[in-house]
Amino acid sequence: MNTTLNNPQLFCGIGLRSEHMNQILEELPPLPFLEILVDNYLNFSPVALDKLTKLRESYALSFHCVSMNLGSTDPLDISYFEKIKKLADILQPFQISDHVCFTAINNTHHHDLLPVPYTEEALQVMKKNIIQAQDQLKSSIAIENPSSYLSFNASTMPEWEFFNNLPIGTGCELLLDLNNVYVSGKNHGYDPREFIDNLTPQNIAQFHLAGFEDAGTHLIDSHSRPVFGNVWKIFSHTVNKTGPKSTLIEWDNDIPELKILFGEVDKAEQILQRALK
Amino acid sequence: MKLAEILTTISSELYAKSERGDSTKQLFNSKTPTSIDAGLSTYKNNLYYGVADALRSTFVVVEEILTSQNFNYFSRKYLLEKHSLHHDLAEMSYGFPAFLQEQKEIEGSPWLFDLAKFELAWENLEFGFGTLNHPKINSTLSIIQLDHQILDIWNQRLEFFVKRDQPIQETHSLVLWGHDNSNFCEPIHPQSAKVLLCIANTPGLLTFKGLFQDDLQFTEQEFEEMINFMESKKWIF
Repeated sequence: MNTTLNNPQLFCGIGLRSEHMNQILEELPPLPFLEILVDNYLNFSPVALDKLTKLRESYALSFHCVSMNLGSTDPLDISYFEKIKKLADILQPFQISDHVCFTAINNTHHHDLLPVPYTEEALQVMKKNIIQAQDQLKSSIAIENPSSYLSFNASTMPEWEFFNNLPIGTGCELLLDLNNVYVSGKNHGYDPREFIDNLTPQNIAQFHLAGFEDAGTHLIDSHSRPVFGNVWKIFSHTVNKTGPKSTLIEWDNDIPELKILFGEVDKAEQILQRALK
Repeated sequence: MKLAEILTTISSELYAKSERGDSTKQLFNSKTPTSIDAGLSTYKNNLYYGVADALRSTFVVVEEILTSQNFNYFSRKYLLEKHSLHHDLAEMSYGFPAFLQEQKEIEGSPWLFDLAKFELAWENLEFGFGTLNHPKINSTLSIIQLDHQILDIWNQRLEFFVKRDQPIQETHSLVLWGHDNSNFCEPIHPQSAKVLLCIANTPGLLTFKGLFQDDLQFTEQEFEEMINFMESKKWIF
């Protein structure tokens, strides 16, 4: 456990869900890291905080956020960042991340990762917000590409160009969700490999993998299924191009037993190990 | 169109009570495999069902009594009327009991408001008075005042209505607390509730004279008995 704990960057972890928390605490399965959905813990529930603190004794943790609202023209909600910072001071995550999206505008919240147009103005707004977020957190952050179901007439650049540009001048890292690349590619009619092949490998800090649902008319990023076969292929293609990186299996709905997640972890590990050789 | 205007248009569409039509749709690229209608409805459903799921995780018995279909109706109406004004989705729960109280469709069941109020307190039980630094009182403790006897509904769920039509109308207080990973609740005498509130609000003091002057109708000995009782219940330590 200690060897992986010291090097979470090279192995595959899982998203921690409350359904598995007690089992993980009891059995301490050999995982390099756990990702926690920070928004679920910002009420500082003493019971939950106690469990997270115990988990931190055995695992490296990464923080994944959904409400930084980095793509919005609203001012950042400083109280939100203060809570994340307070939790980070306690749990010392090795990474803090959020998404290319907006979640609130005019102080109305939508609790979803809503799409932004890929324009120069949106890029500058997002970069300004990332810099302010990093100042608040006293840490660099990683930004994830979202799944999307609408694209804008106003966009002046492809998604990969917008995404790839974010680290420039902000020092942020990129969190590349390969399921999201696949889902958005299918929904908007682009080749996921074109997205991957145009990214700067050094900027990518982590990969995310998850399953989607086919709604017939489009794909929905449901995190309710095993990773789809074609997404594994894209993962393999990406790892061969960028080299192995920290990887995470996410599963948020219809959550299965832990052993199913570990099966997904094993598949990812095999691909990562092959690339190492 | 400026970014702020685009984002505001999307937000207005998601919170619109009916479809707003072409002004929103003109924002989006129609030459993709996913239709604009399918895309918009995915985001709308994520918002509606996200809020409904957050509410149903708190108001479990209220949903059972209303049925899922009606619960979804009220949660959607609640969202579209009140909007979500906080990044924490759980914050939506706090206004839901009062919203239910205002609804004409269920005005014949005023006890639903009490049941919702109780379920909210039960959900938030581990926060209680929030007196984590207080050495004397169980930090999870909270007290709520209700106008109807809803505990039987909460315990028996729909079976309650087979035995009885309506809960008894009676103003009373309930105390809720946690101990050893279990949660508890029971009715509390108004004077005991007042003593607990005084202890919670007066850190470090646990003597009769320290807490009260002459506003309670019981003796120092009765107070000692009350304290012993509260200790046996793990309300105070």
